[in-house]
Amino acid sequence: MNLQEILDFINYVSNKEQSGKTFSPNQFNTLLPIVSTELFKQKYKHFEDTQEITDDLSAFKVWMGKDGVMPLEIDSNGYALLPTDYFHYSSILYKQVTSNPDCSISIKNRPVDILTDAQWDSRLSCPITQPSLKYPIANFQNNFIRFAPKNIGFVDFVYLKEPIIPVYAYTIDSLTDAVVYDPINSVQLDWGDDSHIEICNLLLVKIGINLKEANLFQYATMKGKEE
Amino acid sequence: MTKEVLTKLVIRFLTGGDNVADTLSKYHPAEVEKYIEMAFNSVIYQICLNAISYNDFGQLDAYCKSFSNVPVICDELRDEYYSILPVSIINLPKNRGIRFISPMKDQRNQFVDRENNASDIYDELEVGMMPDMITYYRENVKLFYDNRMTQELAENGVLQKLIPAYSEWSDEDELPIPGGKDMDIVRTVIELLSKKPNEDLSDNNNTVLKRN
Repeated sequence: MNLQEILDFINYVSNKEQSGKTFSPNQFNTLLPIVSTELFKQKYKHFEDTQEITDDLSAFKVWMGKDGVMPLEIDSNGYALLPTDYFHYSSILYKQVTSNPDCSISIKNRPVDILTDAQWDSRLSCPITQPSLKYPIANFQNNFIRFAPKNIGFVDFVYLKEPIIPVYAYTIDSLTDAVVYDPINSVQLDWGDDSHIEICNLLLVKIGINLKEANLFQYATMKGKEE
Repeated sequence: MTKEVLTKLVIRFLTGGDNVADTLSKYHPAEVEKYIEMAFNSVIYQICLNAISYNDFGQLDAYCKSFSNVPVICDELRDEYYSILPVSIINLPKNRGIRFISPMKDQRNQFVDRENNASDIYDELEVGMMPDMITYYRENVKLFYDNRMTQELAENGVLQKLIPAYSEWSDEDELPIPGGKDMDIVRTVIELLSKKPNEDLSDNNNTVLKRN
């Protein structure tokens, strides 16, 4: 659903429920980002607990290092800046390239161990588990990640990005005073279609309409038939 | 079985699956490898004791690796030739971690191991009179040769067959674990590590507060 369809649906349900409350475009623009973040936080608490949640959050997954996407670069001090849209870590993989005696190249995947601050200090001085290219470590700091060993270069980084702020762009028809949806300047939700009903539900809760998801699906079917 | 497979086998048993962030610190592969090394050394040690009992040292040959052209260096102060062991070896009774040393091109002229303080005894024995028989003695990672080591032999380096320490095998090397002993190694390591307590990740500053 695009933003117009979501707004239409909410107003449709709201009318059916005879609450008398409908969303103005401004209210919609205010509440939609809040609801989107709320849903994101609800789901993120259970990140990768179930395949359903993984699927729902897959729209927010960013894989730095997949084909055609630059991996995360680590400078000579072992620091890498966190991407600006970074929200939550999922995995870091170092691809160790080694030369074979026959001049061919082997790539070994080395998962990067993410440590707490105290563990980081302890690990650096541990003679058994000291970081190496075979067993690299990382630690999250304010806006950057530090890596050891420092000469790791690049890593594949999978993280969850923050949901984008949706914007319902519109103009007012000067003759009829009607709201005219502007799809070009609107910023759509980055949630997959599966989660739009949940977004609608949360928006309806904000105006005091508490419905079960199944009821919303019924309304969606009814609305589809009426159109 | 390769070293990597053996380590993964133990870790997967202990963690019940993939060793992800939550368990990586508890069962760090480098640490698990150290425990496997101890268990592996113990197996080789038992084989060595068995070999000594039955005077059948051929059993140890399955575990050795050969190293060619190992450099022979002259120690000017002592006026002795020596080599540095190319890898760390398993320390076994009677220096059995060193299986064989000879000139590069003549394996029939095998060098003879002797103890540090045995040169006088050798000199008195007939074996000590043999002009081609080079003896060596060990000082930690160095092997010193007697004065029958010539500059010509030294220039070509020597051939050494050694029983490398577990840490010297690469991840992809097929480990020479005797049949039936692989289960013992895995069982010993799992038994040790399964008693390891969980890492304490709760409030790191507790101790600081108590101290204040």
